Amino acid sequence: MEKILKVEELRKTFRTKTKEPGFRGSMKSLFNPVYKETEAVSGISFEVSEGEMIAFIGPNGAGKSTTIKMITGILYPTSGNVSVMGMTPWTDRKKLSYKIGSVFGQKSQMWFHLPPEDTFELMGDIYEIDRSEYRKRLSELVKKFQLEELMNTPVRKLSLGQRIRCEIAVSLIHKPKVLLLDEPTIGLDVVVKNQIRELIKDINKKEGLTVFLTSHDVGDIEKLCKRVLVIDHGKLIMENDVPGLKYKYLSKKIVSFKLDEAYVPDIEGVKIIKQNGTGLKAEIDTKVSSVQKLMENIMKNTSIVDMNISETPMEEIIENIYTGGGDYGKD
Amino acid sequence: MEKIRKYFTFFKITFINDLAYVSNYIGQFFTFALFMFVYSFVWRAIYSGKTVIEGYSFEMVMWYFMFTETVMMSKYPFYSDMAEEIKSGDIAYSLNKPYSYILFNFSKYISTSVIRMFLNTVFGSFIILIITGSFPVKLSGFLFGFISSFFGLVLNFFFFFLLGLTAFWFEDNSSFAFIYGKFLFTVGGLFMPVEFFPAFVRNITDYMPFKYIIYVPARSYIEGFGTFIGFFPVQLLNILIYGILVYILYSFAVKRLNVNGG
Repeated sequence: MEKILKVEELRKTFRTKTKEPGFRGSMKSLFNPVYKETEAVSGISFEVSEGEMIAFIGPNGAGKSTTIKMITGILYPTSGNVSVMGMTPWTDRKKLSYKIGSVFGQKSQMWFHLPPEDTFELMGDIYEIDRSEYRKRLSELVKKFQLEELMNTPVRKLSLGQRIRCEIAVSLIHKPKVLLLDEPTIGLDVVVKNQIRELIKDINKKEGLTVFLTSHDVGDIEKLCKRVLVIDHGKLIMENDVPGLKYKYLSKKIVSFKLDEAYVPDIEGVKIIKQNGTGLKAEIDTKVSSVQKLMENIMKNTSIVDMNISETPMEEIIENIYTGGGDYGKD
Repeated sequence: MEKIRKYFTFFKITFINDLAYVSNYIGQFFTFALFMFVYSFVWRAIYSGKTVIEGYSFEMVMWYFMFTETVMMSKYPFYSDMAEEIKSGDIAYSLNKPYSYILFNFSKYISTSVIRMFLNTVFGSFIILIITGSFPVKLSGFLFGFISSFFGLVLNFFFFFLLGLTAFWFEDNSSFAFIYGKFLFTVGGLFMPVEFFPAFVRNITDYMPFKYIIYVPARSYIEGFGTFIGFFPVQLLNILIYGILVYILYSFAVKRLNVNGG
């Protein structure tokens, strides 16, 4: 498939003034400023295919936003190369902006006191869309995002879920090729979250839209993306497909038992998480032990009434990748 | 045409949006009226025993002051929005849209400022008519004063934009705004016509842009077409010079932009 985005050895260093605390520190930094070089992004490379939905995740301050800002051409990199649809973002910023849409969950591009329709009209003009073309696209989006009843209500009176629906719809008005989503579902309830995810999926399928998603919400990543890039301290620490992330880095299973009599097994590779009367919850490291071994051990001593095996939640996997703990970070 | 229409839409939408804030103006009117009353006492004291100073009668000075205040209070201080945008990093989201950041701010600024100027002129004239009981203003002055103020607002835009840009280098730009305000107050002719200054100061003001923002529009209100057209070429020249300067500075600033926020 055609590569829509290529990032090669991208690097960005910021020069920041350091200041010691207190009045003396302030005076010192005024007359004898000391600068510190911080590398926000240190040489990352990756590629994204057209029509792909890819998650770009990492802990706060990892360099995600800096990378995105360089991809959209707002920041000039210190070194390295980016090509988006064959364009270099920071030299062709304006040209590129016609083909990119963006939604930032924590910021709004809607006019607060005006009904959404005004923002749509403004965006239509900003992207220089022909009037009849605009009307066609608008009714298409209004139908898809079910905005009929919202179009004439001032944005300040919309619920967050309704507003985010408008935000996403308005970012698609110019039929972008790439959509940047930054925390699109932040603060939404479960039902609305799923609704938004379905809509994004649908647009991706029907319009071949490439989606570049940053989120701290594991659900977004699991339900939308096939591939995930993990960045930390400015470096790409992992690139994997989402199911692979689970199988490859998931050597731990959680097993809950309901036993006939209270029993606590003691085997290498099995960690007891909870024991409460006849209830037992254990984590098994399948590289050391196995589910079978644990069951055999238990069944020698008592019988199993009920059991349930589950994987480590995605949330925990990601936490482990970020903190560099366990075996998850290593291939 | 397609390229320009977006700025008219900005203008229009800001205009509609401002209608939601109309009640805010009422508060501003009270301040405005209070100023007029306080200054009428100051000027009455200055004029005690005199009828004309430097060609201005008491009534003319009061009308003059009302017009300078009108222009002064109409300028929408978007530089603080800009500073906020730069500080929070929100500017990133204005920059990834296909429009000129300068023109975008200009459309917003001029839309709000022109509405305010219209309302302030109507209201101010009413108040000053009550205070002075006289109308030494040419009716055509309202037209040419308005046109001159418009160009004054355009010139002022570049200084506000410059103030906004200072936020790229300094955390806070309110101190610069304060200094700029004082320039307008003195050599800009806000408090009194520049004729009242000693000759050498008056000569300096000719080479400064400030009087083309405040003094020239206010005098054009009082005297009409002749005054307006007399100053217009230099006013336009100032717009050109500072426009180019701001454009160059902005292109420089945006290249070394360090967007805040992680």
